[in-house]
Amino acid sequence: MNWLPYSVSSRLPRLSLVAYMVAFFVFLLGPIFIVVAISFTTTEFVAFPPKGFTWRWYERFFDYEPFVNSFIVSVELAVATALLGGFIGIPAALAVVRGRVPFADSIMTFLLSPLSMPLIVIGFSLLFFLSALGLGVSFLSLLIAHTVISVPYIVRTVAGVYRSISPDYEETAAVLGANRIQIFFYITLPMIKPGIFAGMLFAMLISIDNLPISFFFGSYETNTLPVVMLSYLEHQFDPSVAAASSIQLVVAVIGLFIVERIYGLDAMAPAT
Amino acid sequence: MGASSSVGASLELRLEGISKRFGQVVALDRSDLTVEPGLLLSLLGPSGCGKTTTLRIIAGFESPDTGRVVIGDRDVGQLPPNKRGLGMVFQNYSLFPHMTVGENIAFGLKMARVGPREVRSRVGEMLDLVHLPGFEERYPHQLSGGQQQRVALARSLVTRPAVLLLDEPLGALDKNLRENMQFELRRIQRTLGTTTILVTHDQEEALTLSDRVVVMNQGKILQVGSPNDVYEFPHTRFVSEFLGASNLFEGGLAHAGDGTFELAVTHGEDTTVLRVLHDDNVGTGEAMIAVRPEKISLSEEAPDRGNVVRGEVAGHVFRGSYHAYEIEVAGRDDPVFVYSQARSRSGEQVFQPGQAVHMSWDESDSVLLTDN
Repeated sequence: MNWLPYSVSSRLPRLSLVAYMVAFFVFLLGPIFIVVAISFTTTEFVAFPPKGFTWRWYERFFDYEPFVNSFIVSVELAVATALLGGFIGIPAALAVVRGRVPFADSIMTFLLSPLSMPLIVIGFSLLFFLSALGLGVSFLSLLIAHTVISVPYIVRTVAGVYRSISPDYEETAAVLGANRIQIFFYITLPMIKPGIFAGMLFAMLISIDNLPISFFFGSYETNTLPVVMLSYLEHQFDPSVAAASSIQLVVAVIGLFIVERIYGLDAMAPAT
Repeated sequence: MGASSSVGASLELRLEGISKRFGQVVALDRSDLTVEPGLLLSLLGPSGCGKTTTLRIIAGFESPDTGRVVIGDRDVGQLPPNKRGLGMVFQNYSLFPHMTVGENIAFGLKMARVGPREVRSRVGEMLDLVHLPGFEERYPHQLSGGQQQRVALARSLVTRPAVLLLDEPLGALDKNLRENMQFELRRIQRTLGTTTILVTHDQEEALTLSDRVVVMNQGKILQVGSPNDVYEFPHTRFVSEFLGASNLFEGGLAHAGDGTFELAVTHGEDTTVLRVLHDDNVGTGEAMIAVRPEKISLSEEAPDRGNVVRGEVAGHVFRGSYHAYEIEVAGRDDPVFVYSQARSRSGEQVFQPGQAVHMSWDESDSVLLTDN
């Protein structure tokens, strides 16, 4: 950096941080802002900057049956995914972290492996697999598929929180006369609750947002909102899709807000 | 249930031939240990000496490869930790953060299905005992380290355990608080008369608190005795050095009759004969004696009795209650440490670096190290 004047090179770290922040706002938050702005335009087509202000596209969203139905499917699916994922993921995380399980590290890697598989591949292969099992395109298939990709998030947050808790608490409870079940309900569960909550919320957000997997299991009853939005976009380009996106956004923001108020967003930092 | 039936009872704890390996590492090597009812025994040693493994075996977190754990007259070796009727305090106290102080202390009673009225009165009693009356509704994070320690102690004792296990219980406290808590812990343990095992690597803590000290190293019990015994009469070099500063002299041993031995120590060209008392006939040959720094007196003139070694002051520091000297002896590798009590503000003689001095001590103040 000798060719730079000292006054510039000494401030380089700071300047690059500012540049990074600017880029972050422009490329990550900018598009979101644009989508929200577009959803209020009075034009018949997607236009930015928006012209005027109207709730019309939100009305359109709630009038258009496929949107509403798929929105309900999405929400139901997200909740069911979080519950089923928690039912599978929580015990798995506890066993891997502190059970005397052989090959615990390998099992952990296996549990997290859906994260590193292309979603298209998971969706495609699950469609064949579940069809072969006779489940075909159904809400249950969709639930299984979403659970497969959500479990890693739950395992990771629960394991992260559990690992940070000293085994001394459980051992203390044991010496004080608690059996394994009592230890779990009186000590372990209350202490890992932030991880469970964050993991399950994460699972819901992943499920609500998912397109590549839901796409393979689409039918009139099982279309999720992202699937319907995509097919809507193929035929029309009116701002109601922007309204639908904004509604999804609000759902996600409310979820994050709840986590932040109850546990702080730190709890969601994917601990490994 | 051990928790409720052993009211006020002090039971003996016995370990018989306990050994434990972790892979290739021998954590405990065929160890026997008896703790008499109501006594406080400490397991003292460096990390990895097997003291924590011993505690965890007693608690039931580890199962020994061989041997028996007997409490009173019952072999508890096959029982899970929650059926052994013990109390335990960990170094970090592990107070349940989501429970109040009252709920923490009541936990063991709740597990033993003690009725709510008795729970309330016993929790109150314990809080009085640890000098924290009225703290029931507070949460652990609202307490200071010392208060948390007291609550942890109350929680472990409220079930009236047969044996109390303390794992470095004062390790997380700062120095002043630690000294206070040592007295406090001793008072509470004496009041309840609970047989107690304390694990520590802090020799001062072990000496201050215990009725019996067990010095361990590398999975073996080296010496068991009263604090005075293990400090004043260590059997081995390790015990001598682990329990505090110790000066060692090596040489050829000869029997001088009547419980007295003579050690011929060669420093350069000089040979000094040091006398030491020992009851058993340990034979002759190469041997080692140990002298504590505070047992040695310094003087300019050669004293006419006791063991005398000449040297030169190499260093001096004032440590408040005593002066610490490093004395160099010609022909000897390590300096000899001498602590001399600082008695009055102006009275005693302070030796300066470079000054020639005579170190002397009574023959009964050194100890022959017999097994090394």
